[in-house]
Amino acid sequence: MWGKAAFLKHLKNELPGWVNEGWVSREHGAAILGRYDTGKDQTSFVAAAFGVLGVLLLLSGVITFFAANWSEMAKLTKLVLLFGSLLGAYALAIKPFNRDDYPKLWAAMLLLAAGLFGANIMLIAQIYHIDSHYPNGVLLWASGALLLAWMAPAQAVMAMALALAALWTGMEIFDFDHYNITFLVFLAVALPRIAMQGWRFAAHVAALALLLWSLFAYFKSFEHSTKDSQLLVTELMFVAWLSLFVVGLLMAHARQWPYVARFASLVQRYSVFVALAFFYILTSPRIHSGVGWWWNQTHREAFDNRAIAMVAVALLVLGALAAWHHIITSRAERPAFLDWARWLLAGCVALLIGTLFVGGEAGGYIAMAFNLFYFSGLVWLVAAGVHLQDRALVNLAFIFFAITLITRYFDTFWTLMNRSFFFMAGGVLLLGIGYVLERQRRNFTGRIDRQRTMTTQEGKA
Amino acid sequence: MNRRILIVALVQLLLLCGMVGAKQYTLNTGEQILLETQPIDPRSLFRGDYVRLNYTINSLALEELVGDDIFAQHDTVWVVLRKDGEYHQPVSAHNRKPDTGHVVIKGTVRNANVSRWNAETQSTEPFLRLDVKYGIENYFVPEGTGRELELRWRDDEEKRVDIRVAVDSAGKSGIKAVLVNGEARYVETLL
Repeated sequence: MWGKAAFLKHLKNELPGWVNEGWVSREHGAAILGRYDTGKDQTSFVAAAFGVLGVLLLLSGVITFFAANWSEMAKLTKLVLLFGSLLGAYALAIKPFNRDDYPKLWAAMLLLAAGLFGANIMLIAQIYHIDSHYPNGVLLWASGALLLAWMAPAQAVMAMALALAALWTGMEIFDFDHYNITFLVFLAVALPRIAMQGWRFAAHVAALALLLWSLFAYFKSFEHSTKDSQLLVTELMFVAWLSLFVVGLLMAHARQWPYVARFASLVQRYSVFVALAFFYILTSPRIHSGVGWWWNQTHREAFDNRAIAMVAVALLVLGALAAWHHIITSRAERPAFLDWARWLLAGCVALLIGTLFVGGEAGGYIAMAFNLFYFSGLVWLVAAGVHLQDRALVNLAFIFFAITLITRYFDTFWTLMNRSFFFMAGGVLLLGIGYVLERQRRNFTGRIDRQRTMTTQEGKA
Repeated sequence: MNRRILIVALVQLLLLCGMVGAKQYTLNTGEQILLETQPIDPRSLFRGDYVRLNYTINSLALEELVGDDIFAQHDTVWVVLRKDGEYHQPVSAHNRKPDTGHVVIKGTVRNANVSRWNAETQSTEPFLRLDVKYGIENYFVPEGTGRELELRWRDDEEKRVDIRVAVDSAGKSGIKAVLVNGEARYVETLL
């Protein structure tokens, strides 16, 4: 889709031609252009860019000022300057850069205040030699920013709070071995405000922060894991993100809550991306058998009761969400892709249950079954993308299709074929598959574009 | 809306004052003890000069102490200190705060080593040693003086650096003063 600036540029190029052809009068052409060319976007962008740059410069200035004058200042002077700069930023946001007259500068001042709050925390810790659990400092900063983002409300500050929360969770997970479930509480507090305000940028940051949290936790779990727990964590992550995808589908039907429904597509895209990534890992024979490189030749054991209970709970949640979605969509005419989804999901759940009770000896067969469902899932995603008119879903399916084909080629032929032949055949295969996939992808995305155009025209009619 | 921004500003100011207040509470109410240390001098690019303090109580050989002997990395550890000559020394280590008349300092296990190399037998033997952090390991000093503090200790064996630490009833600790050869070089005050 076009951005507003690109659309305006295209319109400016096309309009003189339309006037010359007599399709629109000169006055109507000017009116159409005036409808879109308000000049507001460019001005806002410049104001926002200057605001953010100003915030960064001011913050750098405060920190270097303290670094350069550390010895000369008494504690009281330092505190007065620190608190004064924080209050000064708030005072500027209240007057003269108030929200009504200077919305971008107002947001920049609040961003500055949130940044100065962090600088205050770090510098007070320095002045008073506070050397405790250091992620708590980042958590305090993130919480202060979250409070401001909620109360003001200000999108840039919310994005900052979420980025800080991701930093905090990274510190807790990698430096202190906590899986940091508290991060989800932080996210749960942030999300209602993001939904109410319709903040798309902050929603993307929130999704990225959640993605980072699961990746951090996933990689950390591998440090102390056994062969069983590697498969267990991968399955749990897959089911969790698949459940979130179903939540995204449910959100699309929440018409009585438009502030939830408008984020449905965003939730679907992120969750399907991460779910596919974990599904891709589950297609590997190694994760099911537990057999890896030459030093690791023993098979994994079957899951213990605790692991079985964890996967069972995750599958129950997924099943409940899917059942809820089925009930909602059964009231209207159900598209065919939703019926396929039911069978696909049932097959996946059965397969996941199967992995709970068999050891690594059957890993190869289980991986084959996962591959079958994985590729079926990708075909389903293309169908879902076309039905939902979402190009991103179609593109994602094709990207994962290509990556998995290359992986399977390496898995299958690396040890069987002569190296030079392996690379030559691989090159030819890649070019061929790339050509076919790109043609198919264009075919499907073109279909989506045509459907959208038709929908728009019908809407106008 | 302006009122809500003012409320946020007030809450943030209170949080910052709380940071200062909590530390000052420990310094004002805590029992003062003297700890033996070997300062080393790294420089923090972002936070100016600071001296990293390596206390004798940072390394606890559990075989030489009474109390609990099962600790894992990142666990909380309560260490009972008793005055032995000029300095306070560890007596016991516990998983929970013990009820004792002595000073109890709270720390976190940075590392728990379970074996050591015996040069005589040329083999590893069981030995539980905890590397504990108490939150008093860093001390920020005026720029350029961190190295000087380290040199005072390193160049002249007769010169020594000791740290006077306040430990409050909750086991929290804070640096009250840095002493060079028994004389207070830096003393912490509220303002």
